[in-house]
Amino acid sequence: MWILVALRDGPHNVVRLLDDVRALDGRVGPGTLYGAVARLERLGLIEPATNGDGRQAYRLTEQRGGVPS
Amino acid sequence: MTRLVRLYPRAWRDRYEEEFLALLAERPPTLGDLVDTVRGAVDAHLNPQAEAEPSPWTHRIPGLFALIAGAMWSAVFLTFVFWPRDAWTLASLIPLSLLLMFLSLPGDYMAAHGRRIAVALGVIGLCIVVANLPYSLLTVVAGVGGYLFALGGMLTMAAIRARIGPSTRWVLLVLAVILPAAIGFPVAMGIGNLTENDLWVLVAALPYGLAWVLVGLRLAVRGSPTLADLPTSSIEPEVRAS
Repeated sequence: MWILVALRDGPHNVVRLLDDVRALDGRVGPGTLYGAVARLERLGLIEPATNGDGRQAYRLTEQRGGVPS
Repeated sequence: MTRLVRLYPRAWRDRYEEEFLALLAERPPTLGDLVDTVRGAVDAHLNPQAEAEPSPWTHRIPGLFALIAGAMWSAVFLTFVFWPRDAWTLASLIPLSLLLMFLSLPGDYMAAHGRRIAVALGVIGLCIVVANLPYSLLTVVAGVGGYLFALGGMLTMAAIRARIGPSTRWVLLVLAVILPAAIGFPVAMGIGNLTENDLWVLVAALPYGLAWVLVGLRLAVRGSPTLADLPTSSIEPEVRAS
């Protein structure tokens, strides 16, 4: 849930995503984060995005109200 | 940490392992994070979150090319040592195997690192030019360097494509290219007086063929998209780094 909130203002790389989710929900581990990322991706709510710094990024899908590129 | 990630199902690792490890490299895990990673692995087994998608048959082509190239390379040198009378008949397979090795490479790595690869090809070309100048220490260095750079570079790219980790890639490079060259070049240049026994050829050349067989097998089993299969997202405008 907090992942969707964190991605509301645009694509984030996973490092920033982890930091944002931790800021919203306290101590979230990488295993929990990726469990949620995998579920949300499978549900079609988020999708991978290319990122200029070479790190993996995610964004909301259009279905979820993300900005089409 | 890599060992902990191996606790995850194969399909999950195929999809997320690389980025997960990159995340942990930037945010070194605490003891709590390690426990959370194990918990995440158990969760991923109980509730599969990533399914292995069947690869189209075209994804097997690079692996098959690499596998055939390695087998041909190995066969030529085995023939050279054990059936020397037939060796020259098979010698023409060496350029063909090199061609197949090269053809097994174009894929996502090549698409993403075109500039780096262009520079590498330029360096190899320069080495070839210098190696053909009148004999001197420089020509030897250029010849050996170009050989190591070209063969090692191709094997490394294929290994990256087969999703072989950096430490294993280095082991492969040392065992298949650097050590055999360290043995083979001095012998070929007449140092050590071992040329009467052709077994040194096997030590110098066979590991490279076997390495391609191994990499090709892994590449064929796991599959890898060719340039034609790559999604257009790889050339999308870059999202601003956040």
